[in-house]
Amino acid sequence: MSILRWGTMSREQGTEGCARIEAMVAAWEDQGVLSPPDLEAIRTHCSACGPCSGRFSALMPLLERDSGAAASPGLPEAELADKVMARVRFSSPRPVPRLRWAAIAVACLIVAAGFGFTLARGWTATPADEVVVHFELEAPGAKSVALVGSFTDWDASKLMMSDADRDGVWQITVKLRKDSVAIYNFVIDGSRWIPDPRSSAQVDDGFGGQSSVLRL
Amino acid sequence: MCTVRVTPRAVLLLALLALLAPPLFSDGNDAASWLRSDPRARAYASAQAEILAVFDDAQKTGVPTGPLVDKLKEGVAKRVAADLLVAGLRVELDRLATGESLLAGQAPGLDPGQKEAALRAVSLLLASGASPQMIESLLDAASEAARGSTYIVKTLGVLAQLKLSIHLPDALAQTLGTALLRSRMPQEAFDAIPSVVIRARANGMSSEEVVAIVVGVLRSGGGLIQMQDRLQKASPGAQAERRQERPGAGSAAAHPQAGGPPHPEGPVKR
Repeated sequence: MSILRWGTMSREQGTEGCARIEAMVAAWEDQGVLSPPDLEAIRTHCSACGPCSGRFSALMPLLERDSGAAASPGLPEAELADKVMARVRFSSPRPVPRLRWAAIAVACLIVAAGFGFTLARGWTATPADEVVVHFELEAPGAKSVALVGSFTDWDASKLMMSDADRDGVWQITVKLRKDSVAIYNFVIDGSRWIPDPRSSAQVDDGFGGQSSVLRL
Repeated sequence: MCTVRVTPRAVLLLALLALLAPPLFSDGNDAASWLRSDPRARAYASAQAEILAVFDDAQKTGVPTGPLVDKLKEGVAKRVAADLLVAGLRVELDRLATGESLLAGQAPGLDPGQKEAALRAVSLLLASGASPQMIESLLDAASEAARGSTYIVKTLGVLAQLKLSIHLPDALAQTLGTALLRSRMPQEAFDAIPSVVIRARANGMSSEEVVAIVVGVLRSGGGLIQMQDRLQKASPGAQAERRQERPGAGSAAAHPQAGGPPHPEGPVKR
C-alpha cells in the first residue's frame, strides 16, 4: 500500500494520558474532524505507549486524513453563491424592484459563470476535499517511472516520478480527491505497466492485467 | 431599425440558461469525440464502430457512459489489442448494466451524480468477485434502514476493498455490509473499517472471527474504539500473553504500559 501523508504537523513533544487520547479519538469518531494539534498529541502519545499504538494505529491514516482536511476549510460553491448574494444585497440596502431584479440577475450571472467554469474544467479542488498521497516504487535500473490512473485521465505523461538520490526508489506526492476510488498503475520506462506492489487491493483490469485500487 | 430592449428579467433568463448550458453542451464524456480527437486513440480506428456500439448499448440501457469512457482511456493508454479493448468494455458494460438493474429495483430516485457513483461502486464490487445476489441483499438492507446513496456507496466501497485485499467471502461481506448499513456509525467512520479488519487478519485472526466481533460491536451501538479493543483482546497474540500472565495474575498493573490489561472497554457510543 502506498504511504499516505496528509500535511506536515508541528513536532510538539510530550505525552498525553491514555484517557485523554481516547477522548480525542472518540470525538473524532463522532464529529469526523480532528485538529492538527490533537493529531500530533495522539501521534506523540502512541509513539511512547504500546497499547495505545496497538489500539489506534489502524485508525491513524483516517485520523491524519481528517486532520488535514479540517485544517483548511475551502469555500464551497453554495457558500460562494451566498457571499455573492449577500454582497449584492448589502450594496443595495433599499433597492427599487427593478434594481432588485437586476441585482439578482447579475448575481446569477456571476454564479452561473463560476459554475460553468467549474464544469468546463472538471472538478476543482479545495483543501477540504483533497488528500495528499505519497507513492513510492522500488525500481532500480528504471529510466523513468510514471504514475498513471483514473486521476490522470490515464495519461502516462502527467505524473512522472523522481528518484533524486538515485537509490532506485521512485517517488511522487500528489493531491487526490477525497471520498473517491483511485485506480492506478505504475509505468516503467514508458511501456511496462505494473500494479503497486505495496497495495493489498488489486483488481483485474479487464485487459489481462492488474490495477491497484486506493480508496481515499 | 430594430431595437432590442434588455430588461433585468431577460438578463435573469440568460443567466439561468448559462447555468444550464454547460451540462447540455459538455462533451467531456463523449466517447466519439474523444476517439476522434485524442492521438492515442488513432491506433483503434479499425475498431471504432465496435467501440461506439458499446456506448450505444450503454445509452439504450440507461447506463451512464462516464465509467465506460474511463475504461476506454485505460485500455487505450495500456495499448491493449483492439479485440481486448472491446471485450474489456463489454465486461464493464455488463457490470454497469447489472448495477443499473439492481439500483433501479432497490434504490430508485438517485440523481445522476449519485447514480454514477453507486454504479461505479457496484461495478468495482462485482469486479472483486461479489455476486449480484449479495449486492441485491445489501441494497435491500439499505432500503429497509432508509440509508441514502452515500451510505450505500461507502458500504460497497468498504466491501470491495475487503474482497480485493483479504478475499472476504460473500456471506461474510453480506453480514458485515448489512450490519454497517443498519448501524448508527457515522458514514465517515466507515472508511476505517477496512484498515481495522485487515490489521486484525494480519494479527492472525480468521475472517469469521473478525467479522463476528465487528458486527457485534456495530449491533450494540459501539464505535471504532470499542471495535479495536475487542479485536485486540481477541487476537491470538493477546490471548497468548494473557495465558502467560495468568500464573502471576496478581502482578497485573493498572496502567497499560506496565503490562496490565490493555485498556478498559471503550465507551459505548450513542
